[in-house]
Amino acid sequence: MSVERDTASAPRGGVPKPGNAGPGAPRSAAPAGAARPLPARPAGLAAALAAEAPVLDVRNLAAWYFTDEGTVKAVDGVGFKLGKGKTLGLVGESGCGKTATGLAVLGLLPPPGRVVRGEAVLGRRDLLRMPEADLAAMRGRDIAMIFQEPMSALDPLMTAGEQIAECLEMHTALDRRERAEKAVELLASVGVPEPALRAKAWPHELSGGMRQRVVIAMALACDPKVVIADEPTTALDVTVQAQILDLIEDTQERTGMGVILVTHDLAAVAQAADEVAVMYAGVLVETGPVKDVYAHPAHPYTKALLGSIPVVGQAARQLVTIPGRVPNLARLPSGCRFADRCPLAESACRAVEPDLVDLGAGRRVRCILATGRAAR
Amino acid sequence: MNDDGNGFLVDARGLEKRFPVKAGFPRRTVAEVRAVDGVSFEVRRGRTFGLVGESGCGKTTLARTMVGLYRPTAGSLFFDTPADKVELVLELRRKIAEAGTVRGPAARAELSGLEERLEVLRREYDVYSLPKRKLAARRREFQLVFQDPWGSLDPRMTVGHIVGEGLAVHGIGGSRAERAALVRDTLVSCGLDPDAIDRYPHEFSGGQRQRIGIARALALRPKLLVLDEPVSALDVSIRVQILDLLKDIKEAYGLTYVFIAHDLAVVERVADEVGVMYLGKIVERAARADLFSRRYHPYTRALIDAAPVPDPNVERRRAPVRGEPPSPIAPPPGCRFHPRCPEAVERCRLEEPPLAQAAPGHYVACWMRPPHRAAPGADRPGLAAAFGPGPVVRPTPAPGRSTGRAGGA
Repeated sequence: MSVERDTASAPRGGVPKPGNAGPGAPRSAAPAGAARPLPARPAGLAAALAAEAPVLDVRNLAAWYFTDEGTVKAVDGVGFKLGKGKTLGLVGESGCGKTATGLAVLGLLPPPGRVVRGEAVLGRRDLLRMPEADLAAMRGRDIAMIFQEPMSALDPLMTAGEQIAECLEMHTALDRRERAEKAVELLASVGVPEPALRAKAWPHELSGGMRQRVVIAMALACDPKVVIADEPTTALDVTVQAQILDLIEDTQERTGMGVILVTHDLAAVAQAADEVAVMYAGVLVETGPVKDVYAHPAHPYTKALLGSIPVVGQAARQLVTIPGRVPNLARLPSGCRFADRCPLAESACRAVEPDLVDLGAGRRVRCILATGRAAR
Repeated sequence: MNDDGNGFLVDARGLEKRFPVKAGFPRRTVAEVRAVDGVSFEVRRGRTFGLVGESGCGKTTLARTMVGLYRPTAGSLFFDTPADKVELVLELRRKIAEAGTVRGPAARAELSGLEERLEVLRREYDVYSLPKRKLAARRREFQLVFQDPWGSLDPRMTVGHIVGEGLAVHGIGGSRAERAALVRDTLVSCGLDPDAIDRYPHEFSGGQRQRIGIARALALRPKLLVLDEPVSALDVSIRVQILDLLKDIKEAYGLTYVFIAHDLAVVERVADEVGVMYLGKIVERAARADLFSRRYHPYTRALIDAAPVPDPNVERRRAPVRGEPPSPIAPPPGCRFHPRCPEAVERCRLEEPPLAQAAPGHYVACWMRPPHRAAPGADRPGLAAAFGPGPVVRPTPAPGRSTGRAGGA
């Protein structure tokens, strides 16, 4: 729905992602040069696509960390589209590259990390090939981030109101008084009780849930088109988590912003996202509409992850144990990155890294077993 | 006395832990944080007692107080006490309570006599009253596993040193070589390579570090493990591995668990009995199945309703309660949950409800529940068992956003 299938980077039938042979990426690619059938696009579909143009289009993004111990390919060819007013859940375990993806899109990747290829198109402009000054002007105004740990995302030496006013100072022409008023308004809109009073409060005086609301108010200050929310509920209690998800959803309905929900919490994605993109060891292994993916996960990793979550009221269900752990991103195994932990892995899985193959109905999967031998 | 499988390994009575809040110059105590405020529970041998609650409810303080890392402000903890002695303690307590209601010098004399007898028993069996040397010997029998596998292992110590330190302190395993063998044995029991003994914590992943933390506790061959959020810092795929491990070693070593977590779904899987904590108090306690099916206390209900379900076809219920837990420095008067409670009435604002038996073995601290009132949905048995919201929920207007669909269903 919101994330249309990425026809540019993965036409049906398992064509290697463009850029596989990019600089510094000599990876044994899939049988390249296999006839690359141009996706036949019905005329109506083109119009539909144009009408529903994504607000953010990330293509073949790679962001690597150049460390002393080798190149850590934290993000290694990730592409997705985010529709207006939609939420994309970017899920994966720690170290899978989901946070690095968000930071790379915003140009905030800390050294020794660097974007090595790809595009992130927001309103016809590529965020990754933009002078820093331009990007700084867009950050906060067009695309904003909600950070995981609200305590470290806030400046302890500024009151809640001042921090919100600072965003407004950068991106609007409002004067000091108007900014202060708007800050109080924003605090009210994110459900902070007694907003005028709280605007004068220091971060340490606020509870975790209130801090997270302040961080969200900052992100929403300039009505961005896209918000990247990195684990916005992870540090919060369950009763407060539900409130924050409600808040993000309500804001979205009001402003039509697109949200990338970066999280390890498959339950939060089930409840808040339209589309899901599952990341594993730096690549997307499965994407598609949340309902379809959760009902019929195609990738063994998605299937195992969904089976490993305990759910209240289902204590009798046997949880799926995923043996082993995520591979070292500096020394990736050949072939499928999940093969060593996969209960279904065959020798073919270890031979060649599978492509993200279009399954139709907006779904893509990176698994030769799921796409069936028919495709090969 | 250890093999009846029914006796209590832990019998905690009125545990209290307060922390002073200091301010000003000269620094003096201006307030108290009542982190644990009168908590009582028992844990049967070989069972798992699950303790759930949100951050700041005092569950970690309770864990640390139980294993003696904090000295309690008040309360007693009878550990591994012969059943007849526990009976005696209970009887003495009952008599003391009775004698306390009678006036007159005779009653006073009887009371002090009873209290003396209780004190003798406490010096023998109450962990908090034990003489130093006895306590030192007992300590190995109850061990704590910490939440954070990064912060709880000394980065400068080898795994062998970390896991073996307790053995050395308690003088277990005569020689160094014997201790090393014991450490290796424990590491293998915890699913680690015995060669890990010479490596450092930073060489291990989060899941393996948690295994090291469990091995450290297990090395002493304790009777009780207090597990403080043992899986919440781990990735989902690793959580199941650790839960499996905990199940395995519990059987293999005949352990009893106090399992503390904020995640109800995890607790539902591991616990035989569950206590729900809110602001330093247990507000509901029952056998697991009873607690999850009856969910008497409105807070328990809110926790269960808020527990996220990884199914996009399940419509997310709007946040079932508003606001956040108030500060334990100044807990609200009356029922501590009343400012957030959708069912609160006048009485809840004024009087604190006691933890009372609502059904056999099921204790609840709520004026709107049995034994004070009929159970919600008692006239609609089907509903009570299902996700029924009980009585019609009318949230009192509160600052902030209104939750239009608060009642659900």
